[in-house]
Amino acid sequence: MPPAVRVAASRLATFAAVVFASSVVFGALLWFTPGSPARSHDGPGSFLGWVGSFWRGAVTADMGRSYRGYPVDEMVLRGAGRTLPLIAAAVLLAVLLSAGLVLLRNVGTGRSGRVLFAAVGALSPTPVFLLAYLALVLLAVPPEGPGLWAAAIAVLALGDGMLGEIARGLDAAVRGLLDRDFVHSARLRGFPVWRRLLPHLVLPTAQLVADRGAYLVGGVLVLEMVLGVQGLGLIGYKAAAHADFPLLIAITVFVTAVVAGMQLGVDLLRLGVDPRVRKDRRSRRRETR
Amino acid sequence: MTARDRFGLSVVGMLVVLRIVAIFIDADPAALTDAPMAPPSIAHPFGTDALGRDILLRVVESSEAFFGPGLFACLVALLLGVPGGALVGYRPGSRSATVVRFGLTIVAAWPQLVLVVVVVAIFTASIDDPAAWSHLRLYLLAGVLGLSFVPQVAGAIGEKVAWFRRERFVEAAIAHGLTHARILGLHILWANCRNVVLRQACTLFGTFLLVETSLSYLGDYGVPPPRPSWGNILAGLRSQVIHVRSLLRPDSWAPADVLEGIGRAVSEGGAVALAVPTVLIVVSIAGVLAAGEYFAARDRA
Repeated sequence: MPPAVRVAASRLATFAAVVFASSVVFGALLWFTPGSPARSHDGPGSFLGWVGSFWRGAVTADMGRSYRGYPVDEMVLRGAGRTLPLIAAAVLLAVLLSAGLVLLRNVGTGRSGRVLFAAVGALSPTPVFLLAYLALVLLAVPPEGPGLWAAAIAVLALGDGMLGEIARGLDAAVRGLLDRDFVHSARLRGFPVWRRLLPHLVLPTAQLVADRGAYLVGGVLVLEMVLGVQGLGLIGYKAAAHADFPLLIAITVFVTAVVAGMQLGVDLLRLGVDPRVRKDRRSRRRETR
Repeated sequence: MTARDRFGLSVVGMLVVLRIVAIFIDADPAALTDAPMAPPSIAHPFGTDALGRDILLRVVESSEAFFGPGLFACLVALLLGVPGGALVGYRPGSRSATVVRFGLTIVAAWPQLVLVVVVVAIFTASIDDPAAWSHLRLYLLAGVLGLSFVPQVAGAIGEKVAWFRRERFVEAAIAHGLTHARILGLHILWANCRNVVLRQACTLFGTFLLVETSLSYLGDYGVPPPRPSWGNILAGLRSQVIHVRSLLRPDSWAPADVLEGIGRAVSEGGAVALAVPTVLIVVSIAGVLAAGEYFAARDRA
């Protein structure tokens, strides 16, 4: 088996194991707490039976009905259809804004770029709920339509430190590169420097986004609550409030898979971009010895 | 020391002072004092809320909601994360390190806020008398958040330990016959990783503030009312914001009209009561994170 395939397979196996282990941990949490509602409802009699039926349902896309009578898989898919595009758009917006900020800071000699950069860094930890709340009342966000989506995407891209972290990470990556020989030589020959930098920034940017994955999912929950978007966060929060555990666990496992999937995506991207990773661990160890 | 460092450390100082002051204040933050939505006065410097409770007292007493639980979250994350990271960094090839690393990968994929909601919801549903137990909910929340931070702490410590393990002074210490526990505990963790630990603790405390105010604002899983939190103070003033906005929108942009609008927003709309928790939330989270950056810079030095 070529090393690249082996590395990719091991990453995929880790991803699958993480998602499966999460379902077992959350399921156990639900199953073994005293007075658990999971055992009192009629269903499979043992914990292992419950795990089995959960995954059988997940694979065949028929997860039955929740305690409140909703079809679980349909609810998860409907919520994901709203939440995932929201997250993707917010990531895109945050990356574009960060790129602009980094450009402003590093090109030219003016102070304004640096001041703006510092101000964004200082203000970006503002919680999503505050931003959403302010947007709601000060900008009068409509309850549906493009206005709502624009506000939601902007709030998610700015709040909870998202923009600040990505801008700071990207800036550090750019500054690490600016003093490298190939950049100097490109500059001396009159090549556009950003064309040389871009390929080196793809991986760091992807890793920065993946590191924010868990925060993004938390932010989306709060955002959907405040703005009233019927996505995974709102559905999950309502399920939690009504102790509707089949739906809550399904959403939690799905969201865990999304976060772990972002890291998996970065790992596979690295495999494609960085030839060093393609060597498996055994041959790398031989070299360093 | 840069301006950001001074800002961060003074915010941390402010939070400590706020907590100490709150301990010595004997008044009940839930007591109804005066007319609802009273404007700022000598008796109530920030005015009163929609039920007539003093905002200043509630803002100060809110420190109880995040200070102890925030430190508890740090304790949980450090007690699990530092040994885990040390193991992974110091003995990377061992079987136990592999197990720990896999465990950390699992926990790292759990979104903090979702995890907190799930765990608190499950426990609330499984307990007969949730009301009697509501004051412990914050500590449960903090413990879960601390747990979700273990991978981040362990990652930072592990990276540091793996770096120092190859240093000459470790080799020399081994040659001198020092035990591994002593080398790892004293020479690597205590002497060289203190700032990393402090930085992680600051980041976690800031995140706890974020999660606590967010959940308290949403209402079901945060600080149980009538106990105050910056989040639920804002939630209680929700209807005021629209009022303030209408007052701040002047008929004309003449300075006199604008000033009158601001004056009326303060005297009738409770603009001060709204602004104080908002500013405190933003400044505290930004400040605690900035303090973390200070320790990170000291670590690099």
